[in-house]
Amino acid sequence: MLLLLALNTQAQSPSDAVMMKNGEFCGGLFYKYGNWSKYWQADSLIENGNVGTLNIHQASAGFVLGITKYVNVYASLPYVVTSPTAGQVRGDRGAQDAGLYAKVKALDLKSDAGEFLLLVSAGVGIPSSSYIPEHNYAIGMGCVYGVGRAIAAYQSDMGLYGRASGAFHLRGNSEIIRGSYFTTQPFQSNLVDVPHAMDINAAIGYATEGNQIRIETETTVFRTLGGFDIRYWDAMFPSNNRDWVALGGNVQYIPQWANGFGVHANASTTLSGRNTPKVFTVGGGFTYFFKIWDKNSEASL
Amino acid sequence: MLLTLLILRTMNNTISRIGLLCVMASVALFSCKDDIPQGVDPVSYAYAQLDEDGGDWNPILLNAVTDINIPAPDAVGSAAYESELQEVLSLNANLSSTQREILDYWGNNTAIRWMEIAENLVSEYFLPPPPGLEGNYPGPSAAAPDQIPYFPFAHPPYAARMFAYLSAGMYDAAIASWHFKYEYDRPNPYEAVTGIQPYFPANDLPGYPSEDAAMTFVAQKILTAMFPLEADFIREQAIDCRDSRKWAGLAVQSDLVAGDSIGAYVARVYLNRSRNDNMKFAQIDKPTYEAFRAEAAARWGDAWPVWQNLEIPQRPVAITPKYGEVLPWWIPDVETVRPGPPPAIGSPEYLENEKELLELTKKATREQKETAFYWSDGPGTVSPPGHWNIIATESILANRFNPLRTVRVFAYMNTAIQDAGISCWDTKFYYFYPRPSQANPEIKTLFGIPNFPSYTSGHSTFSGAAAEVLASFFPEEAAYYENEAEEAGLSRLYSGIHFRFDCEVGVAVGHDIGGYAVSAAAADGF
Repeated sequence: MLLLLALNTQAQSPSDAVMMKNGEFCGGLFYKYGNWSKYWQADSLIENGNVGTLNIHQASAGFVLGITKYVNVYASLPYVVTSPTAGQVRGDRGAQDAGLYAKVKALDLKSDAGEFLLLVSAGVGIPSSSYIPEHNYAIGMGCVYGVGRAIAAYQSDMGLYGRASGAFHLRGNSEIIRGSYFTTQPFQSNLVDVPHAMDINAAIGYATEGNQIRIETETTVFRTLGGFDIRYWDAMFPSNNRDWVALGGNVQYIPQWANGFGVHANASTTLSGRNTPKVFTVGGGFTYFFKIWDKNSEASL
Repeated sequence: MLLTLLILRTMNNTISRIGLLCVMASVALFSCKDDIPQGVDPVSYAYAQLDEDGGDWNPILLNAVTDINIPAPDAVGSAAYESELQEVLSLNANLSSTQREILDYWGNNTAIRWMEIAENLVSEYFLPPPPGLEGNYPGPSAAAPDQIPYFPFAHPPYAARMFAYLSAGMYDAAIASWHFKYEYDRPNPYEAVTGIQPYFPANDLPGYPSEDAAMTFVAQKILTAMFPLEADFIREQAIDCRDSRKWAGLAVQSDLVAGDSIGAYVARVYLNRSRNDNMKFAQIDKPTYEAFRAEAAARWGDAWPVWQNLEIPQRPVAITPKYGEVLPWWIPDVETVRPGPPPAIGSPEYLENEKELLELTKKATREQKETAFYWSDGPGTVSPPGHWNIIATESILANRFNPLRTVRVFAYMNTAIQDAGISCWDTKFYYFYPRPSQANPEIKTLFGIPNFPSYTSGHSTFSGAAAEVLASFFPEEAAYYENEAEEAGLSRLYSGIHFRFDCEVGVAVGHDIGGYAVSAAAADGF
């Protein structure tokens, strides 16, 4: 039922073009609040008086580590709480999907005016608790998924940058509890074929030297490949055809005087969608940066 | 330096582990995308027994199977029969891959598949009407079934009735088929002529008339009446099922035609009952409903506030408030089996139950939530009666029942389930007892609250009746059914939509009602 989850909750994410250097470590704690009161049933935007507004709170912990300046690894774990303002159905809560990603810098072309980067990232999301994906206010889809992404970015020496990326989301079956369900056809099983998906993300922004200040706006187009439309007055389901376009912004401030501490803020809103809620989110967090090992000592190996 | 080396080595291991995890996850992603089942696997097996005297068993609704006029078939050796055999020989010898697929799908116990088709139609049509532009939830219309909300809204009472008619009709058709099979004793095609390869395990069941044709005719008629928008789909299924009997070497044309005659007779009897069983009066309009509710409010005074729908916008009328007046199959009348009243709100017994429920809903364990969702059987599922048909199917297949015995189980179970529904609805609207969330708004639920009063729980009553009947047919599994029925009842407690007494009384009354069907089955000549 939720969307706009783990991605972009970290200061550096598997979908941006920022790389940590060899031995650099950045850990963070983030909080994000989202809500929706309308959702698209197929392509009509409707309300449900029995939901009112669904509030979504997500706290997550994560880190990124520079294995080398070409290879970074990421891990994150969100905890999600959902609570509707109307109706009798209780919200749900629990640890959601653990994310493990690696990002590789494949190409780095420097010129007088700027720098062109090509990166690829890949990773998996694995449900970390036995939450119930068929709950009306489920905290996740309950499936294992993999994401592969290619990222291209250009950073001018003036500080302006642009970035575009495209990703494929390979998604496994969701295991629900009940033994029968109907999509466009009946099933007598507790396995649900969650459709694969793809997204395209584009951003423009400004960063000062060393990324002490970064400010960017981004837009994401997400499409499932297959899936079915929610039927009239039916509940959302893990195998819905789920499309959305979202607009967001990210800001980070990592001042030199703070000895490695940084603050981050982000917000996003769904512009259009299909079988998905119209969500507004706002979030922020702290990161702490330090070097686990020094680059020079690697040279001595 | 040593320390750095150690760290680096750890890092390397971490990378390898992450890499391995990614590979494993990818493999898992691809490998679990197998076909997700829509029902049971192909149904083809040797029957544990043939029940040669099954034609003497009492039908459910027919006065006597001998009322049906089935003429003696052309004799073995006659030119007419020989030419029919030649047709089957030729069809049987040239099976296409499509024909094999159809044969594998239907198997040799086709009643299993018909019940499954019915279960799946319920999951498709079990979708509550939306509020509509005026917020007054216009209901489906049998006269205009293709307008949203589509007809029917296959809620549990509707499903229970549908399963009862379908299975009891197929049972009477099977008894009649058995009767004439052993009266005329014409062998099945593969015993009458050499060269036919029986597609399914061979047996000595006489061929004339075809029980599959008889049951298929009934199934097509009943299901089409119950799901009019599916007429084309159901007809295609019926044609496949019937035609495939020739391909399998199970029936010649005259076997099928005689089966059709039985099916037509039985379907007429059942459809006639269905037109006069009061179901058409079960869904009442708002003024009638308000008067009905006011009557209950006057009856119970201060004992409890009468139930009201809590949805926003509020649904104007409950689901089939007069289902308690629908004609039952076995119980003498609803008053005989109606349980005593639930505790008055504020009484010590009530307060104890409310406290239990409030605590449970706040602190339900993972196991309790699983039980709640496993038995949720709400919109988009096969419904509680459908759930019990799936359970019955497992036992029938495990015991390799022949088609006649199969539909005997389905018929007694589903008629008992409908009686349970009729009794439960009478109880619900006699007492009009509030749902827990109405009595105490602090009580939150795991899923939506059904649109009818609380006492007693429909799930529990359906389940008690089903378990009672299944236990009589499969005594060695009695404890399992009993446990399932209790779990089904408790699931409504765990989900916060019922008090414990709703469930416990429901299961107990369900058992009583199942007992009426069991007594009838015990005296049916089996």
